[in-house]
Amino acid sequence: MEHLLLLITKPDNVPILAIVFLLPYFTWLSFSQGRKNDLAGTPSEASLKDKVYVWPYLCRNEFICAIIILLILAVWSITIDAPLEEPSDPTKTPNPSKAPWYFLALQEMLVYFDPWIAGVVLPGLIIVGLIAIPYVDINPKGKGYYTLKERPFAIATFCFGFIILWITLMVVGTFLRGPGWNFFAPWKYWDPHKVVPLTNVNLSYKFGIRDMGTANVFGFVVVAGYFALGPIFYFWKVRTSEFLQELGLVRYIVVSFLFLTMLSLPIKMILRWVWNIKYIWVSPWFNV
Amino acid sequence: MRNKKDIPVEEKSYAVLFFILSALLGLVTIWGFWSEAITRRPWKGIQQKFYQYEYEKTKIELERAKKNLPEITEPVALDRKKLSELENAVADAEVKREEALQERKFIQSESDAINYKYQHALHEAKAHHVSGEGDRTVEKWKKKLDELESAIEGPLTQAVISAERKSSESYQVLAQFYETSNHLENALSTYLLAAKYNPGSSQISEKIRTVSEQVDSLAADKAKHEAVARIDEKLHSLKHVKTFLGSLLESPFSKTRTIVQFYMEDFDFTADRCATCHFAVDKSGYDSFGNETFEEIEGDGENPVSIQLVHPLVQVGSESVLIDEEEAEEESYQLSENGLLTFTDPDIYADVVEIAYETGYNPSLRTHPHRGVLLAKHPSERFGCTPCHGGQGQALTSKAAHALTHHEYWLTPVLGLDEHTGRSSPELRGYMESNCRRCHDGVMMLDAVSPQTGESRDYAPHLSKGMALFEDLGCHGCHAVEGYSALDNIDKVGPSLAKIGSKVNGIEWLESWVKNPSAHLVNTKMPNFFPNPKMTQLVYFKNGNKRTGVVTKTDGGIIVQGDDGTEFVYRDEAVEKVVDEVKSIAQYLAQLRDSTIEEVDDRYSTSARAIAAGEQVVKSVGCLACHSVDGLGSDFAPELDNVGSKVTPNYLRQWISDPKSYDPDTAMPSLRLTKSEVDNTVAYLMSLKTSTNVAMAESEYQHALSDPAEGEKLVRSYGCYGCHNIPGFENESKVGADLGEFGAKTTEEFDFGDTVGIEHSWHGWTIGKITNPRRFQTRRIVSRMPVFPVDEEDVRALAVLLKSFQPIKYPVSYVYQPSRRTQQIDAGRRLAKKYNCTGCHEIEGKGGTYIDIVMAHEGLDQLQAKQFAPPTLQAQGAKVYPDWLFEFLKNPSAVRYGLKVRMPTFGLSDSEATTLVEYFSSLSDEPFPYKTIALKPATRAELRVGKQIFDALECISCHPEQGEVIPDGSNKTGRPDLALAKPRLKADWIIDWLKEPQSFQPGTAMPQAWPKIGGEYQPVEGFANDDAEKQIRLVRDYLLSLAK
Repeated sequence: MEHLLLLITKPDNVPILAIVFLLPYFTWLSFSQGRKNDLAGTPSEASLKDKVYVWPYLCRNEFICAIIILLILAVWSITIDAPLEEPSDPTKTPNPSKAPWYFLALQEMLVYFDPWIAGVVLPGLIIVGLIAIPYVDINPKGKGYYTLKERPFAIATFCFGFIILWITLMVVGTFLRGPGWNFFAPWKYWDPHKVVPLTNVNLSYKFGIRDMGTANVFGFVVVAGYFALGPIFYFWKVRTSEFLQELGLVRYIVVSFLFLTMLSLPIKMILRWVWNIKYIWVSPWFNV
Repeated sequence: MRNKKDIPVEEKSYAVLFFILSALLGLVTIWGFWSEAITRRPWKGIQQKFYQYEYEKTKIELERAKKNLPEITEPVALDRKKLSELENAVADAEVKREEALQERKFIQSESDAINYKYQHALHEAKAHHVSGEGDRTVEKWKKKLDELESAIEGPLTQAVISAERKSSESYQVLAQFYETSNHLENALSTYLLAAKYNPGSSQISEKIRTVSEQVDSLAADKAKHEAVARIDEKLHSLKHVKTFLGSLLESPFSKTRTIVQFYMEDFDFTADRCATCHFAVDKSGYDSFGNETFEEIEGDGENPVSIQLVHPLVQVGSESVLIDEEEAEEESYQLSENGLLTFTDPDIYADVVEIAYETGYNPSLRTHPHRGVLLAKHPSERFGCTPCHGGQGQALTSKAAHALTHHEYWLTPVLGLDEHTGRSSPELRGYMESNCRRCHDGVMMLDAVSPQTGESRDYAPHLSKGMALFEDLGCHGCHAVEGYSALDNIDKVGPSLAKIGSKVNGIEWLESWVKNPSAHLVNTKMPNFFPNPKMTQLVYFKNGNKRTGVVTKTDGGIIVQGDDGTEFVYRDEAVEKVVDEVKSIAQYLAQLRDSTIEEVDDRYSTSARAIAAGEQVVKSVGCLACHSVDGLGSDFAPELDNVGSKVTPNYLRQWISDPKSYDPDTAMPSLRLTKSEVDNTVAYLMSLKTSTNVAMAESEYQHALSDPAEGEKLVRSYGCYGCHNIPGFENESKVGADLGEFGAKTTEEFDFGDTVGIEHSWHGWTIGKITNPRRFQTRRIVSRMPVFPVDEEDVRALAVLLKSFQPIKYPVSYVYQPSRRTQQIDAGRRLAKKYNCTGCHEIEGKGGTYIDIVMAHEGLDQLQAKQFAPPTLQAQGAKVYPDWLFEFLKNPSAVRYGLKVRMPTFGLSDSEATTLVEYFSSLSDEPFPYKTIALKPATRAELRVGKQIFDALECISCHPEQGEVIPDGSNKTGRPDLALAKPRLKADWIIDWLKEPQSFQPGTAMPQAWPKIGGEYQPVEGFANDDAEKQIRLVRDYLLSLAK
């Protein structure tokens, strides 16, 4: 417990601690607003009744907010010093070596993926995916007001991708990952000498394949099969779903590829936790 | 556009909220300033404290200066009338004197003119061939001239003198007047004038003396007053500076509270601001200890007597007060914290009161210990603080600057403080020495001359001790230390085991020695590899694991008690084999034989006569300078009390007659024993059997294997070859961990195993490891490091050395570059230590204890024993020629006859002998190589006189003649042969020696033939015109001519 207290009070961890409380609050706020709007039928933002002029009414509110923020920042900077570490020493690697808090989720992915996937491909895809949103999002509803009912897929994907994966992994990386990037329960002392069993194997090994070439082919088939699930679903449902027809094959493939890639992380996590699976596709050049 | 009416208006007022927030923002702004200026600058308070101390100290200083301040009698206003009267008198006398002078001058001038006329007349007369006698004109002028000259010499000069006297008198009166009215300088100058006109007067010169003394003492008194005024001024300024507000008001822009920074660009751009808080570190007067002496303390019978100590802060209870060298009782005095010592007895009387006490200054406000040496040699401007002390130099709070929470702030925490509590303790303070080695690498000690005592002193005693132990215990045998230059070219500490099987007497001895060396030799350096009495067995399991422990066979299976205290039961089939480690090692070693030794005659006499003769040899020729027997001797080399049960006679015979032929690398010298001496010595040593071999614990497991092949494996895994030369192990690497970066290890890098009660810190682990090297072993991690015979002090010293093994190297410009002299001395010290020169001789004030053995063995007192003991080598470099010393060291020959103790033949290499010669030259500040200046050869006559003096002094009554056989008990025993003077002694030195033998060797029996009385050497009467210097030179020349 003492250790948890030490972690929480570390200057580095102030923003993460704030996220732990603020994010659920704002999520709840938007959800409750959306629910209210959905029940009322018309969004409250749509009526003109409540509108006032920017000057002076909005500006004074903003000014008061600015003062509050200024107060918080001033008190923060007086009471908590910038978390500087010691000068770097090439002969000593800090343990654990942690990325800045906003990159901790990426670092967490390194546990489950090859560095080139976790560090290059996946971050690249995140950015590409964010860029692609305006082009693949054909739903015109829900702009400028809160709603749940009208955008279930978008909201669900966001909540899963951002809140569950990105933020949770960040919190895990901050509070639960100790020396050697080992997992520590919050009340446990971070013992640098902790030893964990190293018993992970590749998926092909689990299936009794010992030969490298066969394993390579096997892995390719599994991964290709996984990503083929998207198009298969499309051709299965396209006749009955108006939405799919509207979306079109190209847009659908982009969305399904990004969605499946996102899902691959929790899938790999579960495979690792439950069956100690290290890689699915092992090849001489890369591992997936 | 909508109507204005339609514009919605927010009715809600935010005035109160806005006001509260603005007020809060204002408060936070003030808080920010406060935090920035005060909370985050704690050093300001410390500096303020310093100024408060300084104020108190200055106040005391002022009081002391004011005490016994002499009165200055101001000059009295001069009585103008009297003065002008006297001045007139002087002027009148001066006029009269001038007149008298003028009168004489005029007459002189007239006489000159007359003289001209006289000369002229004389000339004229001579020109006319008249002799001049009787010439009237000549006569006339001559007469006139005589008249005038007698007048000048007589009355006129008289008149001048009397006028001068008068003048002098009037000056005297004036001076007297000045003196009485205290115008001393005027008085002095006037007296000087008076003396000018009456130079012979003793009265005036006496006056001049007393008045000038008064003038001097007045000047001294005035200086004292000026000093008081200066202190007063300082006190005045401190009065303002000591409070924050006061310093602001006094001078807002003067930097009385300031960051003190030492910036070292070439030391990795380090900026040390430690002196901001440690403000008094380079200022004198803030010592941790005070020591004061007061003379003549006397009470008035009514009031208690109080003395103010120099330090205004005293730790009451730490003091010791001596009254006339007797400890004062606590009720007889009181000491208050502000440094006031009060004697409650009003009748106290003491000649001398001494008090020693601890001061109570804030720990950060203290003067650097040994500031006169340490800071003088390492000025703060160049060396800063952190290169020596560690810590984060630029930090301005104690937590950040001391950086004790290692990984959080800084890589190098400050040395000498507890990692957890931040407190200093005597146990940890030694670590401050560890950084000395980072610049002073590879030297044996860090000695310097203390300015207080004037004596040489080691300023890093823990480090020096640690370095010596590291080498002596042979730590380098198993551990490499990158960057520790003392370990370059260092020998293995143990003896060679190449022929051990032929050396020792049976395998049982080897077994019990390997098992526990200190049971045989209490002082042995050999560590114990089997500290747990029963743990001698190594178990191989079928699955390939190896464990050490005790194996017991029971009905339930085989029980293995591991050396970490765990117990397992194994099926018999699981155990592949059990090896008795000690027996296997002994068997392996016993195979290392040398047939040439075994061919040597192994018979030895057991007769009492031979044994007694051997005992005489061992106890007199010098063996006991290194070995000991019967409690007599030194522990440099193994004690011999039980040697008879250890070694074989044939080994012993070869070893003592020629040690190098047995082991070329041994430090054991040859004492050039004759055949019969060797026989007797072998007889004696073989008779020394005090105890039987230490009994071995029986194997718990009956079938424990003892196999030389296993023994070889064990020798490899225990790393025996680290200390011993063992054939076949020449190319093995060291078994221990590299310690090159050990000092920088963090607590996380240490494995504390299953231990409890060991502090989790660098200090805790290191001390724990050295005291019990097997302490941290677990079921998984096996330790093989043996247990060394070290005490608590040794362990701490070793830890200090280990702390100095750091990965980061200091810039070359900071690394101490020893002078050639220092290098030579250091190399010489190493060699002198290796061969134990100080076992016999006194060098650098150390050693020379062989005289004790002579005293004990021969039953002599110190003065007599001196004659039979090896000579002191203090100032040896000044005394003998390097060439001679080199030859002597290589191949000693007798200089003194009749001595039993011998200078051994060490078999020194040329470079070793040169190192020793250089060492002695450097110690005496003699040049090396030494240039011999050819002396002017003495003439036969000179040599004859020299011999006469030599005979008159009866030198030959004590010194032997060349080749003279000295009977036992002769007083010539141990005196140097004078015929060796020429090749041996420096010619200049002989002169110095003959003049003052005691100055070279205090207590020498050599008499001072030319006693020094009143700064002059007294000659031996009757030779060389009684010129002592010349006599000494002649004797010297005669001595030099004695060489054959």
